[in-house]
Amino acid sequence: MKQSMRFTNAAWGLLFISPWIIGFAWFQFYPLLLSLYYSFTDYSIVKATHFIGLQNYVTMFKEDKDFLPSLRVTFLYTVIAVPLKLAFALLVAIILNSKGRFINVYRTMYYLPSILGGSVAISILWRFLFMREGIVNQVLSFAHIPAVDWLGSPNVALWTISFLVVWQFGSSMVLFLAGLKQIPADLYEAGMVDGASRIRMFGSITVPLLTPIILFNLVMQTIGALQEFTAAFVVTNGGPMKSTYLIGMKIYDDGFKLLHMGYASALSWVLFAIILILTLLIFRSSRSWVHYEDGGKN
Amino acid sequence: MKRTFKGIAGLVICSVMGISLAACGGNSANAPQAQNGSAAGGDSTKPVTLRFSWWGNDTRHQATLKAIDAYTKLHPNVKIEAEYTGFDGFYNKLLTQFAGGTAPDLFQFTYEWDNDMYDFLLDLKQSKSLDTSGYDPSVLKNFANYKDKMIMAPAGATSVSLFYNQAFFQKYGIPENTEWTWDNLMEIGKKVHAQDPNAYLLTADIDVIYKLILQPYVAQMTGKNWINDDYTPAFDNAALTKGLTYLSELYKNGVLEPFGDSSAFVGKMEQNPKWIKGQIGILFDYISAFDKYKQSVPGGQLGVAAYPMAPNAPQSGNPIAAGTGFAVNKTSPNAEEAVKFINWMVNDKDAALILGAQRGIPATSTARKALEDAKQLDSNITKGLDLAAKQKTIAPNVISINADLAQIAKDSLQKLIYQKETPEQAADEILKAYAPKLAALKK
Repeated sequence: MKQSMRFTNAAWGLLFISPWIIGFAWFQFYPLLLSLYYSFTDYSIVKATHFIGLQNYVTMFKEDKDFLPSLRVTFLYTVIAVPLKLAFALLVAIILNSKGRFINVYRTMYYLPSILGGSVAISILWRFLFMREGIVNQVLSFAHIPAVDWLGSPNVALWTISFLVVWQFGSSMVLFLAGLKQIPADLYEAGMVDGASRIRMFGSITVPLLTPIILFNLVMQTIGALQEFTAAFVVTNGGPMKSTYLIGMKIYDDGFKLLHMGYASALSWVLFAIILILTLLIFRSSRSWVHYEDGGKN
Repeated sequence: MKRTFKGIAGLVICSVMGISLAACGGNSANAPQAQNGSAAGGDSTKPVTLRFSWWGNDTRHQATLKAIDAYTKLHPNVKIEAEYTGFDGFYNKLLTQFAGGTAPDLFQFTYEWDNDMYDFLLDLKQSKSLDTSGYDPSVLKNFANYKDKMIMAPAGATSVSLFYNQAFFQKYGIPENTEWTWDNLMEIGKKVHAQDPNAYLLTADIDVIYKLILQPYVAQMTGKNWINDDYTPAFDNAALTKGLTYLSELYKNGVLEPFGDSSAFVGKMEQNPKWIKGQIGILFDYISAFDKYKQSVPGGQLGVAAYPMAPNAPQSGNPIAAGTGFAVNKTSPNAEEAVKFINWMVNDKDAALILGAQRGIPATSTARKALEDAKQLDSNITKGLDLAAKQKTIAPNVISINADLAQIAKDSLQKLIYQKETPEQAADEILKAYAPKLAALKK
């Protein structure tokens, strides 16, 4: 009796989530498997496909002179954009954690850029803001700061597109805000009684208790940054001189511009492996710096 | 913040990691399906729906939509769904549609895609609905036919032209009837920039630099295409080095707008604020793009002049190309109806009057005559074509416009422009990278 009841429950459950399962299987899992297969072929959309074994992976490391530089740019971008974004998100979250009159309005306003997100429209806006005769340089000129070639200088362009991502701090900010709300007020009271300064309390109470959220944000943003495409594609088109040629753009170029779809699939899988390893490393490292209130035993 | 949080976090992270992989997987239908496309004709009253996609700017869109209206009034059984965009991304989208089996029935096409798309296209020779008698045989040979098939019905002839801002020329005392050579382009450009450091005689994006400056410059020295039909470079190291030296001089002398500034407007030079403000004098593009530059230049004062020629050059490197036209998806169930519509667009007088010169001067004699009789040919466009026709040229070939070869050259060009490489180094690099690529393409 009990057994069959459990069975029907499971069946109903499966039925209800079947739209998602079917969607996932067809639009994500199947393409995923197919791309793994393609990565061992010379699939090009237009010509007959041949199985070529590991050739794509060999080409990547031995012949493709763009692959390693592009990985380098991607890492550099991640190292710039992710910490900046998290620091900025935390700062805004702390400000918005105060009790003001219109605090909810402010919270919404600060979340807005994230809703607009990394869309193409925003990237185009970015291009116009940061071009040589754009608004940013005009504002700088009021302060008598010489114009910066934000998009055209190989040393600066990567920073410019990093700012675009930092600007979309909303989702991290909301998580930080939720985390801040969870910190028991009595800890701060105890700190105050003991005469701790605000900075001391931030370092010894706020940050340690936020570490689970920091970990989550760090992992999510790192994954996102390693896969970034829109900003580089729309704002700088990978240039100048490939200084913003992120691996995501390279995959696109190889796949859709040069029609080496098999090769692009292989690149994707290498990127996947890199992301997986990095994520595991971050999790491994978290043992030494993430603090769970219950000691992480539950 | 306990176990549930860790659990949820883990799930979200796993799903996000997979996204980039799914993006590359794409569709399953890889090989073009063979179907008896051209056989499907049927009677002419059966209701059919055709999907027709093209690229272009607003004026071309409006003209084409009007043509569709007119045609569907004549043939009430035909419904045509229009899918139109800018040029950017059109080709990638079309290819992806072919791979996924959702390509339109007919679409605008350029002979530059012959090699990639050949397998997907209907052989128009097999169709009885297309009248090719109005085409010049050389147009059919050079642009419509590829291998053993006729895969495109050319729509119009166009060539590269020199567009200039007339007010700019007045301001800097440049005579409008200047016969442009590469040398006087450099000299006058230097003077302009010396007079006003914010002004540049010329702007060009990376595609224009490669296709409309470097390639013709070298072709005027060699008298050949970029790549020979036997898949060898048509230039030697010395000729390429000379071309690259000229290009780097254009930048060093302030003749060309700095690369970083123009790079935000690849494929849309008309949006460049310097052009809109009248701080740029000249740009090179296909004459069929006349309208969009006229609309963006201050006061609409846009002139057309002949493309620069080196004195005594054996050829201009700027052929008149009927390179754009219409092609039919060979798997379309209504292929014959699509061909009939194309036949109307390229041959019919009324269609010619509606479509104008939006895809260049009409390629068939009937359509051209209709426009001439109605005095509807923009004199600037005819002028641009006439100027190009005066120069000796050779027919272009498909291998010269290969995307891989373009990418190799553009990478080296950027290093040259940012002065990370000398012209000699860049020339070496290009030729070295071309050799294995050309060998692979020849196979």
